[in-house]
Amino acid sequence: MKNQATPKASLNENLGFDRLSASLAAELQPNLVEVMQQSEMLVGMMRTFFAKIDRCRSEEFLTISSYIKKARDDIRELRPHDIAEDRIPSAGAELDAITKDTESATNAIMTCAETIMSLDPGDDLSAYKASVDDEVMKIFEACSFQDITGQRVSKVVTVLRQIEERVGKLAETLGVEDKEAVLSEAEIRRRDLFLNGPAIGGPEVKQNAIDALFDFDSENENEEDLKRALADAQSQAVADVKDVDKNPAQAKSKSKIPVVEAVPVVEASTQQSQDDIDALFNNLDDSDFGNLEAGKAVSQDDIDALFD
Amino acid sequence: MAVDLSMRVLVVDDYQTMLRIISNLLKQIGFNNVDVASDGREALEKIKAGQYGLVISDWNMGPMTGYELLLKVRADDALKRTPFIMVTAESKTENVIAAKKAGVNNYIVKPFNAQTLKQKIAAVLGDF
Repeated sequence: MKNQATPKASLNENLGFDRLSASLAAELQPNLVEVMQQSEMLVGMMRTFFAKIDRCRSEEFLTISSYIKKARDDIRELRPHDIAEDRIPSAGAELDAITKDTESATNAIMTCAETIMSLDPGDDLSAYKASVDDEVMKIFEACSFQDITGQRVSKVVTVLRQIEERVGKLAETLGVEDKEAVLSEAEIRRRDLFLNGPAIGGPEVKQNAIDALFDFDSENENEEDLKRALADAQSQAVADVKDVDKNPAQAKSKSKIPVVEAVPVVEASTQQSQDDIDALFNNLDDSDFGNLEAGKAVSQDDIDALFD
Repeated sequence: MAVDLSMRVLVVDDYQTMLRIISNLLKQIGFNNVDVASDGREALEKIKAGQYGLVISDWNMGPMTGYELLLKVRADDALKRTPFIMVTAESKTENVIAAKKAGVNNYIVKPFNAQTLKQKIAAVLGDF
């Protein structure tokens, strides 16, 4: 019974525990309150933070949604199916018709010309004249293709402008920038074989400049020399045409290239260029060609032209 | 030296109309032995098979261009002296220089007239 606690001792122990609990509680209470307060604050902050994220995301999705809707509306306005299924095939058909019309007219005209050339005047001149007149009338008729072709070309140009406008608007709407071009096989072939096609507004290098190059003794010249020679001749050709445009009489006396009287020298056409070329080559030797500039060596024909 | 008008002349163009025009012009000039080909490949076969005194070729044709034809003719020992005139709408500096470097004898820019063709042939072959 030695180890058995007496009721008094047990009461004392209980009283001690209560006191300790009270003391601990008193000590811990402010900390717990503080933790609770901090937790509450943290939860509040988190709530605000997540609410903000939700709002941002929501706004972004709304922006994307309205952007897609606008783009879709814009694309609908551009009527892509109309372009693909109607406009482009129609323009292609017009171009095909132009090719056929011009080919047909050219063949008709050439056939008439060949017929005229093969006619034998013989003794019956009135029959000969009647035959020539018939063929000439056919040529006039064939030339009527130009009117229809002009109208077809106008339609194609209108379609191209519409497509250009629509594609431009789409690119602007979507904020699209040009990607660096990757050449297709066909494009690489065109580049490597210099397949540039006809230039707009006549030949880029005039015939007289080309003639100058071929007249020039360029056997041992490198590419840069050839380019320089061609550029010099081209500049001279352009300057001569401008001089003639401004003042034909004065140009005639100033130019190194004698003006051929029989040919009107107003437009910078190939015909005109060829005349200049021929004059150039008839009157300049190889040593002159490298310095085709106004004020340089003048041939006898040029000097003669000054006194004509 | 006068041009031999009986020589064989080959005209190469993928447009039948242009073949017809140049052939007629050549006949008007006096050539009476004019042959035609529709592209570089057909022309090369004809040039290899027959003796041509002059080749007049367009540039832009498929499957073999006039420029490729010129390169092949100039690379062939048996053909490399064949006079070759380019008649084309290709008028950029790079085209003219490339043709000149490849050994073309003369170069005519389209559109052209009969007189131009005659003069360029004379420049290559001699006076008529």
